Amino acid sequence: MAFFAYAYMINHQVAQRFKDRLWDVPAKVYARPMTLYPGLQLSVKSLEQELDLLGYRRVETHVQLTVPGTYTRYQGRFVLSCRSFDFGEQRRPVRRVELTISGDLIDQLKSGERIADMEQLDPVLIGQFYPSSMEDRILVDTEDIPTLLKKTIIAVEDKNFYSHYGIDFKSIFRAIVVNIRQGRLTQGASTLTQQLAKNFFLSPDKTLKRKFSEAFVAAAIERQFTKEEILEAYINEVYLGQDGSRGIYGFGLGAQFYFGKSLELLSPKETALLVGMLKGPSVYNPRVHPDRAIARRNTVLGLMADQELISSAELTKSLGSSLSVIPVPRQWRFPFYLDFVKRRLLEEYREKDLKTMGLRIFTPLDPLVQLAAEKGVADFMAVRDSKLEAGVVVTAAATNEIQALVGGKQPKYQGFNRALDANRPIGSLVKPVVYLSALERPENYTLVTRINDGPVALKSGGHLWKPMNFDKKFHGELPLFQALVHSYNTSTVRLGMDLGLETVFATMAQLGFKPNPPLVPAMLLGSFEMTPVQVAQVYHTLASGGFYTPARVINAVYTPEGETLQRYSLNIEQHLDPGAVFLVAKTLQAVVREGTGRSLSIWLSPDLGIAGKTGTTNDLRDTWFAGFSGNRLAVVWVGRDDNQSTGLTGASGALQVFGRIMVQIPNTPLVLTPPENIEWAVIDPQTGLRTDSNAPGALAVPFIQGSAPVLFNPLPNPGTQVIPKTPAYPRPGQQPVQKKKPRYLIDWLKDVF
Amino acid sequence: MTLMVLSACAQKRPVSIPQSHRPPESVPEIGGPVRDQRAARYDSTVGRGKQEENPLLSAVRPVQRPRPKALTRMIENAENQLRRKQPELAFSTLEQALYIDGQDPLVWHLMARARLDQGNIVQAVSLAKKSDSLAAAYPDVKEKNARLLRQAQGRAD
Repeated sequence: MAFFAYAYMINHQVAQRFKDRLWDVPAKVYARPMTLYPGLQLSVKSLEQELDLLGYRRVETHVQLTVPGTYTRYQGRFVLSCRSFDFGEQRRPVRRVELTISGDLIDQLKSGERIADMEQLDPVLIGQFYPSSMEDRILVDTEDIPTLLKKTIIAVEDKNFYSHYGIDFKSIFRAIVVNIRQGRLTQGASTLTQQLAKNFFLSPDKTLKRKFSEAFVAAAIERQFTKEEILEAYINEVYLGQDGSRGIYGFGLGAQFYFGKSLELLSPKETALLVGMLKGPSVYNPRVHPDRAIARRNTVLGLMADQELISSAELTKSLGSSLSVIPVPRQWRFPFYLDFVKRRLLEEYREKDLKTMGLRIFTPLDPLVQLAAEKGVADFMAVRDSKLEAGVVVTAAATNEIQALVGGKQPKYQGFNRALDANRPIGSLVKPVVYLSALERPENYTLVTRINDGPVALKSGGHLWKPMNFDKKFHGELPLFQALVHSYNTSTVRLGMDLGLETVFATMAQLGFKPNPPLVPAMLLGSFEMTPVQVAQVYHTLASGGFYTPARVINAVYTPEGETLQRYSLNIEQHLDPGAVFLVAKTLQAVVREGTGRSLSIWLSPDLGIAGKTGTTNDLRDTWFAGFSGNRLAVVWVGRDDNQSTGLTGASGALQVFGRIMVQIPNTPLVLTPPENIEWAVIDPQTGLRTDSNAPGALAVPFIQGSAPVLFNPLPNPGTQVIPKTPAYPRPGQQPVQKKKPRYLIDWLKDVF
Repeated sequence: MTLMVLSACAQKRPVSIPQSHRPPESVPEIGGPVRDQRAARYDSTVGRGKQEENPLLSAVRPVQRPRPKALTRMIENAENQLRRKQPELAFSTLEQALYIDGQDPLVWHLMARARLDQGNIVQAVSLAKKSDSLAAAYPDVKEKNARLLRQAQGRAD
């Protein structure tokens, strides 16, 4: 009676266990897939770097391209044997792709035998979220398991698999006889089902009680499942080695880990090696003990030939061949980026689910940009104060997808991700917000409105605050845009106070960040704290013409079965007038061309028209640079964790990192499209009046429609008492413009007619 | 002659020159000229590109952007997906298209179309406005945006 009760209980336990998910599978996090198309800016070096990250191996001849995940290269001509990949919404098959790179551009592209407009590579696996057991596996379905593998496992591990009911009494008897004869334990008689039972339900102890339970469990498994199901479970379950703290489980991952292949592509000798390793994955580790591994593999090959699983010719060929095991595949981990991905995921998923459900997470990380950002930081830090640290964010200008994130100079994450967590005063990075607030009021301000850069003193918090310019000089009356180009403090504070703190920080909120109250005048010079990621959000709204676009680090999450759990699509909201934002962006281009950011020309061609702004805080504690090209935006912070002086400015610190990063990656020129409400006028910047196109110093200046000066001064000569016809220029309280004498007769005549 | 001299001595006058949406040619701009996209696109490092022939010539004047074949194909795919009533798939295709060129107003217009088809009026309007802000050189796209905005307005009412 007790026997039947025990059997019933075990049967129930097995049913329950197999009803649940059998294995904890880590979540896999992928980078963006590289899209190839003729005209894409891509150097040979960058493509090789991408292929290296993907684990593609370079081979010498086309004949060796039979294995997906290999490529040949002759100068700029690449032939890739691409792996298949399941993107969730579509599956890319194994295929051959040919491309030619000439002058850092893709010249020609072929997919199979056809000329192709575009191709997409599989994405780089950038990291995994492991369960506490650190078990890693690639699950395979029975239809994807090669027959040769199944038969070899049975031949080596359990010859009577298809005929026993979980326990093979004949084998047990034979093992007992052999062990008694030899006087020691040399042979086991566990069936595959018993091994499975032991792994799933029982401890590895070799006690009689456990053996007894194992037999009951094995019998229960056999009762409830088909032989095919049991074999599939075994193939997915077994332990096949170790990669640091990560355990390699199942033949699916084993094939990738040792041969860089999917299971169906294993050759007989590779199959023999993996099956042979079941006896002792450490003892027969082919990378550590190649001689033992070859001997064991050859034993298995012999068994395969005995069972007529391979021909004698195949046996002869295989016995003499090398192991052809690949070096340990590198696990690419970008810990700062993964940290951000995980934080976002934990807002919606339980940590346990992340680590066990085998989710597939697609991110916009561009590994080439990420490596460039890490290198940019490392190169800058190499010759500087060892206490300097950095935080970097790089995003796509169109979509605000985060392409790279650096949280410190050590690529290894040590708990403090400065890109996300370093809350530091932003200094002059706030100034574009002040000027944008002004330019949103075209009835009062244009780019050439003269503002005052004289001394200023304000009562704030019971103290008298007297901000100074960085050069310790005052610059008098000057056009509004010049004050931003040269990042003057006093004119900015005066302008900000004229506008009102509420107005300026309401604009800031529209850009994507709302500082905590109370608002104080010093905030006009950036005395409040932000993280690099928050700054990137604000500057992205400027870069995208006033359209607020939430930053994204995840594009989609899929179940292992390909079902979409969540898609994080692009969302945009128009928060600001594109015209006013255009005027600020034009001025930020001037910052880089002729203002505080001009040293960027060491790294990047002025032809790119990069727009940007430097920021430095009191006592040179923090240095910032935020800038954007046509296709990318980057924010860099350089400072010290102990908040001491860096001895650097925005231009000599963060900007130099920005330059080092951007010069390594493709950037398109920033060609700002004037929105509909922009009109242009030729202006003499000295007077703010219209002038002739050929007048010395004449400048084409954009205005919000209706705000351009209507007064025309043919030459920049003083002498005329001008009564303003437009409120935009000159402003009340300003000095009247002095009339100048015409210098050229021709100009004088032009003015007349 | 006397009249000419007298008139020249008069105060500066308000002008009634019609305003132009286009910047004047041959005059330097604030921020300086940016090389034409087609010329500069593949040169990001210093000293590798050819010098601009005329540094005064503005490249900000709206010009249609060259469209790689891959982008044309993606746009066609998205248009087909929209015709087949697959707006989410079309949106996803267009998001990928933004990797190739994030400033093509037709891509943004079609994204607006996809959202409108899904009944997401707020996003449709935002995306159409974004498209419009990039469409100075694309009167046809501007027209499409205007139509879409009228449709969106109609649905919102």
